[in-house]
Parts: sequence; structure tokens; C-alpha cells
Amino acid sequence: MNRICWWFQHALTRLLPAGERDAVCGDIEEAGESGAAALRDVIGLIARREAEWWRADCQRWLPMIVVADLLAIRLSLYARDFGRQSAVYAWMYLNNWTPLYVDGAAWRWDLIQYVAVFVLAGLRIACFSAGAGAAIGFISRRAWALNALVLYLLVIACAVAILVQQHDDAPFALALYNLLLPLTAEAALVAGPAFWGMRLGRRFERRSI
Amino acid sequence: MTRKTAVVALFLIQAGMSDTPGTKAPLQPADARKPAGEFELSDATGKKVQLKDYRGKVVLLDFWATWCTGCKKEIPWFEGFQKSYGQSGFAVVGVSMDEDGWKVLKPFLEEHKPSYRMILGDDAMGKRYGINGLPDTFLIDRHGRVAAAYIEGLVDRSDIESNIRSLVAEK
Repeated sequence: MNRICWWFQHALTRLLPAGERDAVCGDIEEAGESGAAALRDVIGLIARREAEWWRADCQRWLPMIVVADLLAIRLSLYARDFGRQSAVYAWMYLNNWTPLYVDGAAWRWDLIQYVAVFVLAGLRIACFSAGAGAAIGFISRRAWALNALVLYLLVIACAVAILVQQHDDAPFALALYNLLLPLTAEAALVAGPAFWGMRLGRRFERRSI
Repeated sequence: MTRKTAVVALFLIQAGMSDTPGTKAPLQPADARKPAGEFELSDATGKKVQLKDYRGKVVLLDFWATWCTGCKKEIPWFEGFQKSYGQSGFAVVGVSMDEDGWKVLKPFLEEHKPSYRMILGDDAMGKRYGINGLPDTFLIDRHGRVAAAYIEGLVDRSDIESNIRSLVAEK
């Protein structure tokens, strides 16, 4: 048990700045404390440091969390609508395919237009998500993990709402269109690009410091 | 993506697509069918079209509009039915409920060239058939009676085709 406490204590001291970490480790060694007491001290110290930072920088992280909330909700709604609309068209074309859809020039052109519109709409949401993620990663600095958590919790909440909602339209009787497509849209157009954007934003943020 | 993931993905897609539901309608027994509402409306050439012109034929009466995307997607399906069962005494009649009338309907017809007759509906006809939303599709038997009504939704293609087959087989 004592060894486990020491292991956690060592791991947690990595969250402290390098200079302070050495000083804290030295103090603990000199005090000859048990592993549990050392762990308690380190947790207390980290909590105080974090609290100071959050308090001092609340003007930065509070608006960011609000922005992340709004972005997550907006993007999830876009993805949900995209999933629903594309489900109806996919059902019409895939499940009810007839060669006549490509026989006449006008029907062919309709099909091309629908595909183009949906590809562009999907790209727009993905770019928006990546941009939002990059902004969160870049601007929110130490609060980025919290913002990311808020964003993903809201995206998951929207996904759960999709699972719960029932639609009367024909395509939604199929699991592919009722569940798989909207959830894939949430994952591929919001969660994935936002994560990529956040990583990108964090990288730029580290470079700019 | 590994081969196993691809197989699982394909299985899920196939499982999700294994059925094709749409609006289904039971075929009414012959003695329970009610007479379809008569009408006299014009087609794109200005020629008068009446339901009684089709007596002796099974008619698919499709209420649609150019602004109704789903309705437009059904047109090629109905063209397919016209092609398959036209020789057996089956006809499709499209009734456009566009409020802007021929102004919007004619360009659509010129562009898409549907292979069956299109007429322009009016409020009276809409009321007669109880049209509240689109698309609405009615199957009318050889005696001018409504045999099946697909209300406010895209038809289930296999269901309507099966009903057409049954009606065409009726004497």
C-alpha cells in the first residue's frame, strides 16, 4: 500500500513546475513522511495551485466554457439535422433504387446535386468542428481539457437524444438511418474533427508560448 | 481498416438496409371499396382528362408537387410500374397540386419528361380525395373504386407493386 502511495505521489508531482517539483520532493524526503501522508500533501498542494490558477484566470476560461457549450450544442444539432436529411435521401436512393434515376439527364443531374449538396454540407460541419476545436485548444490553454470534456459531454448528450427520439418517417424504421447514420454523423463530423482541431490548437499554443 | 472491421461494417449496413419500409396500405376487398372521386382537369397539352376515361384500367393516382422532394423521387418508381404493367391495363396519372400551376409544372415536365400523364389538380379535387399533405397515392380498380390509399408519405415500393399486381389480375 505504501509503495502504491509513493508511486502516485511521484506521478502527481509531475504536474508541478520542474523547480517546484524538486523542492517538494526534497521537503518530503527530509520530513520522512509515510507514503500516504506524502501523497496527501502533494494532492493538497496541486489542488491549491490549480485553484489559484483557475481563480486568477477565470476571465479566460469561463467565457471559453460558455463558447464550448454553445459550439457543441450548435454543431451537434447541425450533425443531427444532417444525419436526418441524408437518411431520407439515402433511403430513397439506396433502398429504392431504380435505373431510371440515372436514365434521364434531369434525374441524373438531380442525383449529382443531392450528392454534392450533402458532401459539401458534411464538409462544412467537419470544418466548423475542426475550427472550433482548434480555437478551444489554442485559446483556453490549461482549461482546454475541461472545455474538451464539456464539448464531448454535450456531443454525447445529443447522441443519446438521437437514440431516444423516434420518427415516423419511413427511413427511420431502419436501424441504419435511425441510429447508425446520425451517430456516425456526430462522430465523424463533430467529435473527430473537433478532437483533431484541439490537438492542432494545442500544438500552436505550445509553439506560441 | 482491417478486413474484420470492414466485414462488421458491411454486415451492419446490410442489416440496416435489409428491409425497405414506406407507407403501406391494405388492399380493400372488392365489396368494401368506395367509388373514387370523379374529376375533369387539363393535362400539359390542354386536353381534358377525366377519371372515367380510365374505366376498365387500374389507375395509380399520384398527388404530388414540384416543391415536394420525396414526391419527385417517386416519379421514376411509377414510371417503372407504367412500363412493367402498362400492357396489362394499368395507367399512372400524376396530379400536381402546385399552387403556382403550369408556371412551375411545365418547366419541370419539359426537363424530366415523365412517361405518364400529368394533370394539374385544384382545391376541389384535393378536398374530394382528402389531401392534407403530400405525397398521397391512390390505387383505383378497373371499376373506378379506391382499392388502396397511401396517405401522406412515400409509398412502400414493394407493397404498392404487390397491390398493383393483384389489381391487374382482377377481372
